[in-house]
Amino acid sequence: MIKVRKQVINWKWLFAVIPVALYAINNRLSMQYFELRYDVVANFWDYVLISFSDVYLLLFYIFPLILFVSTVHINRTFDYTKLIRLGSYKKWIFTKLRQLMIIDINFLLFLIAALLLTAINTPFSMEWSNVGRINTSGNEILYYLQQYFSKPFLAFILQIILLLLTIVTFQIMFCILYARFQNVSLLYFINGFMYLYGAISFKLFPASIKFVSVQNYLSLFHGVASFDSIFIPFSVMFVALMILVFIANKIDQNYKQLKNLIKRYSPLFLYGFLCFMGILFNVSNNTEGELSVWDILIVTFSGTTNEMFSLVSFVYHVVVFMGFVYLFQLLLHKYLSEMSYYMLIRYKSMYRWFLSWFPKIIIGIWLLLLTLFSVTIFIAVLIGYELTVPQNLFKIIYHFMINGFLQLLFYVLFVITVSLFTKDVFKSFITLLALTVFMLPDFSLYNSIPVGLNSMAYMLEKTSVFLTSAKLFGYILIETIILLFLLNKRDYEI
Amino acid sequence: MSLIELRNISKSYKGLTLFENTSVSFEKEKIYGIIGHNGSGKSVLFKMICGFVFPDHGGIFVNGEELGKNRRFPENFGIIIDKPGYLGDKTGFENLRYLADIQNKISDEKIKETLEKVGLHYTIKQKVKDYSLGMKQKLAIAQAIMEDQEVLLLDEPFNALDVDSVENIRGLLKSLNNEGKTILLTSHNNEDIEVLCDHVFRIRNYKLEQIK
Ligand SMILES: Nc1ncnc2c1ncn2[C@@H]1O[C@H](COP(=O)(O)OP(=O)(O)O)[C@@H](O)[C@H]1O
Ligand SMILES: [Mg+2]
Repeated sequence: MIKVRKQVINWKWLFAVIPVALYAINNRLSMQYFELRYDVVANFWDYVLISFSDVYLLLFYIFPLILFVSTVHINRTFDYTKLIRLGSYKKWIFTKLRQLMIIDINFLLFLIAALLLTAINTPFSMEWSNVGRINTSGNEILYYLQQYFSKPFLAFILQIILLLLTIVTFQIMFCILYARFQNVSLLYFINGFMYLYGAISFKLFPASIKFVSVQNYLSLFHGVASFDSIFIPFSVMFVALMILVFIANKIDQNYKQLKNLIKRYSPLFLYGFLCFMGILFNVSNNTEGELSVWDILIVTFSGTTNEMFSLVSFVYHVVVFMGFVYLFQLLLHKYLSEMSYYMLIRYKSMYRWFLSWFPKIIIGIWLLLLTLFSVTIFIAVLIGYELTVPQNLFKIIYHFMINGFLQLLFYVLFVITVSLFTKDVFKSFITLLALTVFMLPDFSLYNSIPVGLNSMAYMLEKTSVFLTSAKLFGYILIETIILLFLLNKRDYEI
Repeated sequence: MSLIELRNISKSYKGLTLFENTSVSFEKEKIYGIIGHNGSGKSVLFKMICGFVFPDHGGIFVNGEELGKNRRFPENFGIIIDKPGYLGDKTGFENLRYLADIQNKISDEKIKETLEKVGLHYTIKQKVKDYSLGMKQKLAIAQAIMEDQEVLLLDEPFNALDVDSVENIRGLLKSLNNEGKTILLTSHNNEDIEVLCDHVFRIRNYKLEQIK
C-alpha cells in the first residue's frame, strides 16, 4: 500500500489540471460581458460552478482522462503473482478499486484546487448571486442549479459526489472486465467508445432518452434538469454501481453455471426487457397534454383496430402478446420433448394431462396482465401523470384484464391445438404469427377474427367490450372442442 | 380374462407395414420376452400397449377395458420407452419426485430406496444431462418400478448397463416377478431373454409368433 501511495501522490496531476484552469479563466473573462449586459454581479460560487458543471469540460476532458489513466493503471499493475497472493479476482478487483479511488481523490483535489484558485478574488457569498436568476441561453448552468439547490455550496458538494460516483462505477466495470477477459484492448476500445458515445448522446440524442445519456451523470446541472429531479441521476448510478459490486462479488464462481442460467433465462429476460422498454417509450413519448395514467395504458397497449393503425403499436402488440405465447410454447416443448412418455403414462388420458396444465396457463396469463398493468400505471404515476378516475374506468380495466385474458387464452390454445396437428410446436407458432395479418387495416373483416381483439385502441371507438368477450368466448369454446377431440384421437409421438 | 389382449391388430406407417391382423394375449404374473430384428416394430408394439399410438385396426384391451374408449393410458403400468424421458437440468431425485407428484402415491423415502435398488445413490447431485448412458438407464428403471406398478413394459431395459448392473437388474426383475408383477421386455441380447422369460414371442411376417 505504501508503495502505491507514493506512486499515486503525483504532481503530474498539476499538469493535467492546467487546461481546466485555463478553461476556468476563460469562463471568468467572459462573465464580465455577461455582468455588464444584464447588470448583475457574479460571486465566487458562480465562477466555480460554471466551470465545474461544464458538460464539454467533463465529457471531453475530465471523464475520458480519468478513464484512460485508470485503464493504464489497471493494465500496468496486473500481475499473476500478486493475483495468486490475493487469492481471488474479487479481492483483486477491490484492491484495484481502492488504488483507483486514491487516484480519483488526488485528481479531484487538484481539480477543485484549480477551480477554487481561478475563482479567487471575486465577491464572496454563501448565497446565490443574481446571475442565476437570468433565464437565457448560455446561462443554463447557474439558472438550473439555483432553481434546484438552496445554496451554491450544496450544488458544489453534490457535483463532486455525482462525478466521483460515476467515475467509480466505470472503474469497477473496467476492473471486472479486465479480471474476466484480461484484455487491455477491450478497455481501450471502451475508452474510445465512451468518448464517441458521449459526444453522440450529448449532441444527437433527444431529451427523452435521458437515462442513457452520459452527461446526465457527469454534470449535476444537466442531470437534474433532464430528469427534473435531484434524486434520479444519483440513484441510477448508484443502482448501476450496486449491480457491478454484486457481479464483482460473484466473479470467482464458476461461469459455466452462470452461462447456463443466462442461456436458460435469456428469452425471458429479453421478453421482459422489450415489454419494459415499450412501456417506457410510450410513457416518455406522450408528455404533452393533460393525460391521465389510464390514457397512457390505452396508448401503450393500443394495438390496432379497423380504423386505427400504427406500425409501432402493432409491433409492440405482437411482441408482448405473441412473445408470451412463444415463451409458453418453449416451456411446453421442453416438457413434451424431455419427459413426455413417463409423464403421460401416469395420467388416465391426454385430457387429464392437459387439465394438469390448465391452471398453469391461467395463472401465467393473469400474472402477465397484472404485471403489465401495474408496471405501466406505476411508471406513469412516477413520471407525474394524473391518477384521475375517468367515467369509463371499469370498461378500461375490464377490456385490459378480461378481454386480454380471453385473447391470450385463445392464442395459447391455438398453439397447442396446431402443434398437436402438425406435431411441431414451432410450426404452430409461425401459424399464429401468420394470423396477425388480420390485425392489419382492411384485413380485420369487421373484427370477426380473434386476433388482437384486446387492443386498447377499441376504447376510443364505439365497440362493446362485452361483445368482444362474447366473440372470444365463442372462439375459445370451438377451439376447446377441437382440441379435446384431437387429444383423444391422435397418436402421441415425439 | 387376460391381462393384456391384442385383438386383430394392424399397424403401418406410410406404406411400411409392421403388424397385420395379429392377435395375442399376455397373462398375469409372467415374464414375457419380445424379440425381432431392428425395425420390426417392438417399440411400436409397446407404444400401442401404452396407448400412445393407436392401431389402424383392431383393439387393445387391458384388464378387459379397451384403450381409447374410457381411458387412454392403462392404469398402474411402469414403462421404459426408447426415448429420453427426463428434465436435463434437474437431478435424478428431482426428476423422480416430479413424476411421482403426478399421482402423489409415494414418499421421498420410497424414491430414495428405489434409487439405491437400481444402483444409483440418491445423494448424487449431478444434473441428469451430465449422467452417463448407463446411469440414465438406471433412472429409467427406477421410475418404472418406484410406484410398485403392477405391470412393467420394458423396452431394452439392459441397454448401456455394465455386467454387474445387468446382473443386479436381472435379479431385481426376478424378485419383482416373484412378488406377482407382470413383465414384458424386449432385448437384442438372447441371454437376457433366455434367463428371465417364461414365454417368448418373435415378430415375423407382421405377426407375433410364440416360440417358447
Ligand atoms: N411415427 C412413425 N412414423 C413413421 N415411421 C415410424 C414411426 N414410428 C416407427 N416407425 C417405423 O416403424 C419401424 C419399427 O420401429 P420400432 O418399433 O422402433 O423398431 P424396433 O423393433 O427396432 O423397436 C421402423 O422402421 C420405424 O422407422
Ligand atoms: Mg426399439
